[in-house]
Amino acid sequence: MDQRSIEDLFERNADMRLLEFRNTEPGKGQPQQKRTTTSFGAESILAEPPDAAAEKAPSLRVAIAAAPQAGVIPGAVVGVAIDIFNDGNAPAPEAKLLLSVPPEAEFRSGTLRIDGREVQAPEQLFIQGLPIARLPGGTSSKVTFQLAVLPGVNTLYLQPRLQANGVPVVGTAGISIKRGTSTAAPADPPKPFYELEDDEIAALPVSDATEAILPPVIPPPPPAPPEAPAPKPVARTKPAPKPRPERAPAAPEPVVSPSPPKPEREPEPEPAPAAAVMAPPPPQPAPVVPKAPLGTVSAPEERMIRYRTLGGSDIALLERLFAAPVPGIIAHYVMISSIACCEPVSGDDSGGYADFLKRDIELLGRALVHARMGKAPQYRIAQADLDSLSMTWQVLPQAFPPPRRLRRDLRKAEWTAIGGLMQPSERDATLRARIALLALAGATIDGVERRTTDECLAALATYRSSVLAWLVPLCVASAGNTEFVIPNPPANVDDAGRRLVAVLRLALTS
Amino acid sequence: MNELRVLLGIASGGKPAAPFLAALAHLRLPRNVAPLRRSVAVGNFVPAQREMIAGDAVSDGFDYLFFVDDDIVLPEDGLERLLETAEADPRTAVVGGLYYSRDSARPMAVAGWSSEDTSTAHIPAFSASSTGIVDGIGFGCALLRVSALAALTPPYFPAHIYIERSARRARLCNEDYLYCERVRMAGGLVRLDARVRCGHYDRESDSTAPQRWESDAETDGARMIVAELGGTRLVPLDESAPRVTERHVAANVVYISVD
Repeated sequence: MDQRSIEDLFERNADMRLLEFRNTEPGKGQPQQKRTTTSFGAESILAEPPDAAAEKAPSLRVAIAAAPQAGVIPGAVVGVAIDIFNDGNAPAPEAKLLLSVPPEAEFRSGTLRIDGREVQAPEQLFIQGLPIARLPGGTSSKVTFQLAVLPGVNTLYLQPRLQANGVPVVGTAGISIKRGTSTAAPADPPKPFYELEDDEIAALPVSDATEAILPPVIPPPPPAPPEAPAPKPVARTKPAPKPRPERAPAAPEPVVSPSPPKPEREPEPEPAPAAAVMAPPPPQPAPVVPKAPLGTVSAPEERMIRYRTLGGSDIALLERLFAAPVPGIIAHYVMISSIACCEPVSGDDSGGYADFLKRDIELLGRALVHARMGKAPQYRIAQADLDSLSMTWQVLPQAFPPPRRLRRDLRKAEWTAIGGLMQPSERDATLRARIALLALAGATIDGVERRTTDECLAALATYRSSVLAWLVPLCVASAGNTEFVIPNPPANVDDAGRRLVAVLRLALTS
Repeated sequence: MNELRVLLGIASGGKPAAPFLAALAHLRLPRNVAPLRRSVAVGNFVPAQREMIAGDAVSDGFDYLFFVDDDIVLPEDGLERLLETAEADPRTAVVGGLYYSRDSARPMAVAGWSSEDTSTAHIPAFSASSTGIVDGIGFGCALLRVSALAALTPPYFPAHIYIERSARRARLCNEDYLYCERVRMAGGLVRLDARVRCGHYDRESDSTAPQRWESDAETDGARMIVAELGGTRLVPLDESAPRVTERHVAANVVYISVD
């Protein structure tokens, strides 16, 4: 069976399931019998025959819509509506609705409603699941909320998931909200999630789809006369391997031994080939189709991974700085430079970031001494300092087992944006540099247990967002002002810094 | 936080079983995981098929490779749980779901396994909620951490050919256990997530193993498989029981790759 045939099988399966969904809609008659018998243990056997169960049973379905669906720009607000239908004729028990907010969008607090009523704990939708009350047969419930579009380059993809014990749920392929002028991908018909990449491809302009996602497509050869099919010429330097008959290996018998279990690689039993198959015809080229074949992989977006290793002395310095009642600007500058990820997976940092950050922290120490002596801190970052930093994009594999250190996965668009901050501008170079370094700050931590990772992740995110909220408006306001004075951070920034120091101490030195 | 990227790898003999496809269609995507990509390799030499798929996972920078055989019936929450186990401990290089051989004779996991003498292995203890460390798991349902994979030198999957002279039979096997051994040697851990209970569909009998799931009381100790009249049986491990004498001879296999 060739690649295309397998692809057909997958797609046929999707179509058949769609047919089944439609057949089981109310008023469409009896559901189809289960096609494949299984012999699982008692825990997987229904208490009553499937037909009897289906006559009076709930059946949940989820659908999603968004407005606008295309052309969104950073700052735009997208309204999202998720409908949960009980297509069955019996009440459905409480279900849970889950949704992941795309990284380049933000939930707008206070906008979540269920059937028009405000929800007290909206975060449930994104964490453990938003409870959807018991739905009588033939009714529905509507969940609405708003998302704010953040800067970025990626399509926003929303796919709600509904979980209900013992009730069949018909999911949705989700919806893609494209930036710029593209149109959104259709949300229907329901397809298995592993086919979503095809939807994404369909949503792209044809040229993008073929050039950016699909592997190079070899044009199909012109149709040959049926009586003399021309084999596709194959360039090779050695004789082609001799075609072998498709031998059907015998089904293995159970391993009988007092010794350990013998390895299981039980070949799929197939009918033995007829004698004529012993000399099979040369393999035919697989048909080339203008879509992503099943066997190919669309590469995920590349990420450049950078790390930051912090020692006990680094943490001790941060603890001293943040122990003061009001840590002040310098403490935060040291923190930003301490958590900025500058290390490749191994080897030297060729970009100059490690040296830059080391010197930065040393100079900040001197500035702190000056500040404590009552003098104004003299240290500012100049454009010349930034010009020495390399912006080379370099993708390297991760290390395993992962050492204990901070990690930042950068997408190319993010890296380009950071490079933009480093470019000469009328805005204050110190503030631009701090924001750029904050963009390099660790987003997670490797080499520790999950619970610690989660704590670090939250502390890093809180710190990053609070400092950005403090520095970005200042950076904008600094345009054209060479003597711009940076005010002290608000109390929430100090709190976030203290919290981060405590978490880093626990994660990196325990 | 970045979404995790998982590659679904299917080493197929060419005929994906219907229960496999049906189960796959209902597999839930964990939170914080990008839509799955898939890589399928067709053939009758599983190590090379896995090799191709693993190459995709490494070269395209995925975080995890999720191997599922085309006759495995996945539970809906299979990937969620495997990922939860893998993410809980960064040293975990491989975590596998629990499934049985198609004759329901034994779970596909081993402890005490060595490539130098496979007769030393036994079936590890597990429970319905355990995610413990083992020496090897079958790759019918296995989640591989790609950074652990990338740290190895390809080809990633060695293999054994198991020759039973009396039965006049030779079988290709152990690429999964051998891979597990390689990552263990590199400092990684292999776990059996026995919460993930997969069916193993048998095309010949049109049935799915195991015939019944063993209780915790039955699986809470190390066991070995013994011959019994007309079949096999799992019994508590007896280290003093006689073992098969193995003779190992290395044979060359050369991969010839063409585009």
